[in-house]
Amino acid sequence: MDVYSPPVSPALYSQLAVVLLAIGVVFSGKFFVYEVSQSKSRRSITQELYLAATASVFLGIGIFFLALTVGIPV
Amino acid sequence: MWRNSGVWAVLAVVLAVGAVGTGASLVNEDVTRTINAQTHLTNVEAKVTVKNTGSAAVHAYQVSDANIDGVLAFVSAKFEDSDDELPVRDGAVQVNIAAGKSVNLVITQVYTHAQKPFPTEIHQKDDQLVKFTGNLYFASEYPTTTQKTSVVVPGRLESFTKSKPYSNKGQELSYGPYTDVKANAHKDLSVHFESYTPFLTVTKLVREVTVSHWGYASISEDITIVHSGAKLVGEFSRLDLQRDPRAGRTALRSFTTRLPAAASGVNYRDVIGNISTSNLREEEDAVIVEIQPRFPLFGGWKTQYSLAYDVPSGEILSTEGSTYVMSTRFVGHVFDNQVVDEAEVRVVLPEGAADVQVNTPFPVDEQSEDVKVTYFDTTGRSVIVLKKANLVEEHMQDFTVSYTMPAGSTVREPLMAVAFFFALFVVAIVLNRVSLSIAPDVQADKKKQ
Repeated sequence: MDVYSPPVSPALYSQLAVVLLAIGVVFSGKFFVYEVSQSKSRRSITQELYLAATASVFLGIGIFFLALTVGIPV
Repeated sequence: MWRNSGVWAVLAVVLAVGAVGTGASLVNEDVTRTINAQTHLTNVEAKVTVKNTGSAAVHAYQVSDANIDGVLAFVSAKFEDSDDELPVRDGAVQVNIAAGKSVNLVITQVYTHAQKPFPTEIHQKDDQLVKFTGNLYFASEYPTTTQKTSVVVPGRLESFTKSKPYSNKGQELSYGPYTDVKANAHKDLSVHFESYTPFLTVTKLVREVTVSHWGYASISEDITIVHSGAKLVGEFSRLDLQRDPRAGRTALRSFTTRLPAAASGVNYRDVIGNISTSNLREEEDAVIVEIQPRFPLFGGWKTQYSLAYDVPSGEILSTEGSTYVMSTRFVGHVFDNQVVDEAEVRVVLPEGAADVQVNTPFPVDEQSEDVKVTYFDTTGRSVIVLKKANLVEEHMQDFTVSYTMPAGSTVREPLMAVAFFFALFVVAIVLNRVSLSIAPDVQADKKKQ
């Protein structure tokens, strides 16, 4: 039996939360700018999904590490 | 009819032979018993020389719980010249004694709620007197050849059983030697004395260990404590408590709780919020919380609080492949010489844990399962609930819960957060394409033309 070590070192949780959330906010900003600046007919669904996926990966993991930093039991 | 009485006669003979065969071959040759009542727990330590006078080997020595009138919380036994504990099962020490041989055993018993306040109600400035009763002889189902008993109390002796030969020196009493005491013999022993040791009882303790594969396991303890000394009657004067040392002798103002050295994020609160009257100090082998309840506790007064902290996952969790073993104390330290009347230990396992196996160092009263749904959960986490009554410091032993988790299930929680955000974006995309306007879309119409 080995001592369990978590997949990511707990010392990095707060930095990870800040960095990932910052990147996530930038991508979601780009997504919403794209949504409002292009008219309905000229919007590309692939471009929209690409921005949405990137933003949600960063925001999701960022929020998860934020929860860990503040001590919400996960 | 004759046939029936014949059956009874055979049965009587079988029973008689059985009785001889089980117990009569052991003899306590010499017993030195010390009853220690210096704390609110009553400890009985008996050094016993046991001789097997029968013709067959004996594998168990039965320990009686009737030395003191109280609740027997813990029994341990060892050889006098060794530190290794002997196993004790159902009140019997598992020890092999060959025919004609003798062994020296040291048997330690811890009795709770044996010292009863007498008088049961006192005023703030009165002396607190307590009394315990028990057996003047070493309680045993085997005959005892010679025996001595000494009693140690923490304060002035008010009265005690005077059974010759005895002697009294200050706060110490000795009885005996008494010779040739029959099996199961009983003679009342009663000692009445002054005691200001903290009479503090944890009436209910709920310990919840939340196991996480992400860094920290959180442990929380909900504790209800009561001052189990003589009840305070008459008026309570805060002024007397401040300036007259006699008026605060029975009061409990603070106590010390020791947490594991790796504990962090400690918080101490009750139903109305954080209690700021506490100090935290880190020592080499423990984190020490000096707990000061909101008010000093007098006899019969009670309070309730919760103490929570985190420990790194690696501290309580070990792994091999997809099997994980959680190992932590059954109850933590609350205060020195603690008594826990009722303990409930809840182990919250990560979602998806399967093949759960529980292993406790002593039998528990009740084991059940529960489900708890918290953050980042779908179907809820399985909770192992263990209940046991009447625990003392000796029960602060590790127990283990082992379970299996499929590989990669630790990333399910962050993926859930990702999926949640993605769903929000998809909703935004869809809503932005739906036109809810009832006016005709002039631009689109023009294009078509």
